[in-house]
Amino acid sequence: MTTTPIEAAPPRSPGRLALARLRADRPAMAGLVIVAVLVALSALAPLITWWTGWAPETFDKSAIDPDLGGLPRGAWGGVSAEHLLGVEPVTGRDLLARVLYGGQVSLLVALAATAITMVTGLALGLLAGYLGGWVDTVISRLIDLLMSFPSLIFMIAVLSVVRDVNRLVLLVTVMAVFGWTVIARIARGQVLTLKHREYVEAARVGGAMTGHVLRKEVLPGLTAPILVYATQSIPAYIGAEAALSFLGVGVRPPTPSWGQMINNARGWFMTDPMYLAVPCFFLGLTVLAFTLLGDGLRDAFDPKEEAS
Amino acid sequence: MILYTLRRLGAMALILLAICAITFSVFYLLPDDPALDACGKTCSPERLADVRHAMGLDQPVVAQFAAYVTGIFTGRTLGTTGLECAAPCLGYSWQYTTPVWDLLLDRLGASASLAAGAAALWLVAGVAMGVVAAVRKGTLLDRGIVLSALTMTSVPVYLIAALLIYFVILRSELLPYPDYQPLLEDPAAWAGALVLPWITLAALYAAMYIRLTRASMIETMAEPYIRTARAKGLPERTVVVKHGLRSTVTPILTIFGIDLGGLLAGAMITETMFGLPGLGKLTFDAIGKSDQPVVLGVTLLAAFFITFANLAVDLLYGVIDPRVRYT
Repeated sequence: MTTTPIEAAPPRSPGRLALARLRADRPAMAGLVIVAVLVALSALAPLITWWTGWAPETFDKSAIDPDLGGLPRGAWGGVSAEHLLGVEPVTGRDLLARVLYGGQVSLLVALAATAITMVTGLALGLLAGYLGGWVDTVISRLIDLLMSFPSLIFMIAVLSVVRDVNRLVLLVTVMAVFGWTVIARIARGQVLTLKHREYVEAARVGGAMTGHVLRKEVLPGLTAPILVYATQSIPAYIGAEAALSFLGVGVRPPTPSWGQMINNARGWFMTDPMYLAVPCFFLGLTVLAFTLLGDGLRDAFDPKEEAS
Repeated sequence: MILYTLRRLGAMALILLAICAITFSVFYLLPDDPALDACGKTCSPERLADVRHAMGLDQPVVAQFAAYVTGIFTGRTLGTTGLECAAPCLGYSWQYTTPVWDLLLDRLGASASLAAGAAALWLVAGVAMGVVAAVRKGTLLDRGIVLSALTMTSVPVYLIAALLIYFVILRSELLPYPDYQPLLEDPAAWAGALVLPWITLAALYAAMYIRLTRASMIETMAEPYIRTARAKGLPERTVVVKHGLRSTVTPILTIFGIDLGGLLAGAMITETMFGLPGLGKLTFDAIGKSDQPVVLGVTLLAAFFITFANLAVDLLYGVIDPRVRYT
């Protein structure tokens, strides 16, 4: 036995360990930076459009050429010092302003849907797993049912017939109704394995109430898988919002959204490819950034990954 | 095994009935009145009442629902119109003046062709590239595959479709403009119209499957039994394919079943971009015209595919993975 007096590293909590791993993960950090920039740009959209002088709804007839069927004047879809990303054909509306305001919609819908599904999914999954019995049966069957639903078709049907409702609230609601099931399943499965761990049973024997056990003993063990899943589901929601708006049942004009812009640009992609490229680029970049971040979080929380 | 299958079939029937009931009541509660659409703008209240009666819309919702469900099995006569709707009666489209089932059958061919071709493409390409990346983990090849998969998941499907149409059809005229014909009538036109949609749809999913296969394969290849297989002196090829891939494929098959089931009526964007006359396009058009019987029919058919695919996958598990036992 040798007792070398090594400067032992102080024990680190799993959360700190994960954070350290995440910091060292360059693609994930790049994702985080892109996400931050995109969120900042969308949040500051009013300020930026005030600075460029073009609001998303302002028509600019001087930027388009009526002799060419309303195509933007100049190369690259009308890119100029005035319009940094060019203009929309026919109307001459500023693409930068529209894509930034569209980003507000995309990010808002995705983040709200993620937050709601996380809370509902966690609550129902915890209850099902911890209480068991008929509560578990009811919730599990409900999950089975919702998972067999052709959700996209159903969403489109509901979105197309409901009128006079705030479209954003409606979008988030229908997405959340179908979205919570996976989180609930993960939570339920985790609770089933955690429920009989010694530390949880000790708390129960010690006389802790159900609510306390769930919040203080079980929930912390769930943070990692849920956080990872939530981050990975954000790009899915962004894509879904774009798809629904593309199909004409999402956000209604005049509010811009990426999916809606792509749909409008569809007929112009031969004559004015910039019009299609701009919203596609922002959509793709957002999805990429959240995917990188989600991958990084997954690896960071994975106990099988070597500690760095 | 037989008992398990029967029980699953029972559960499937219950789920389908519940989906039918939910969709039916949602449409019933919504403000859209199909009678008003059928009757037209200059419709007097008496005339509207007549139309509602003829379409059977004046019945209580429970009676309407019961008639709908029995109609699926026995066929029925619609309201007092005297219109016959044969056995799998999923209602009658007042817009197309055709039973919904006939409409669905008519469009199913294009959707099934699209889904089957794309699925074959992405499954083979996705799993193969995923396995190669996992086996060659850390090499330049692996990095290349991972990077392209990441790019493909991020590029919006709209852009892929637009680029393909532009470069392959319009610019280089490698393919004629898509004009879908059923396979048996004109195989050349069928394939010609489907090649690009296949690639579009497959690119999207292949990227996901590469990522899934790679992650799962790396985990499997670290298992002790792989080391055992190598220690026995098996050729690396056998170790990878027979021992590694076999257990990797099981979770991927689950996702594949769900994806394929959902795709039959869910490839709406691809069908819209390429103008393919499939179920997705039918739904999209039906929603635009508030043709609710069609939407209800597609929803049910899609739910049937999803639940059926789930069951098929669970049964296939036993064939692929001998460790699975049905209880």
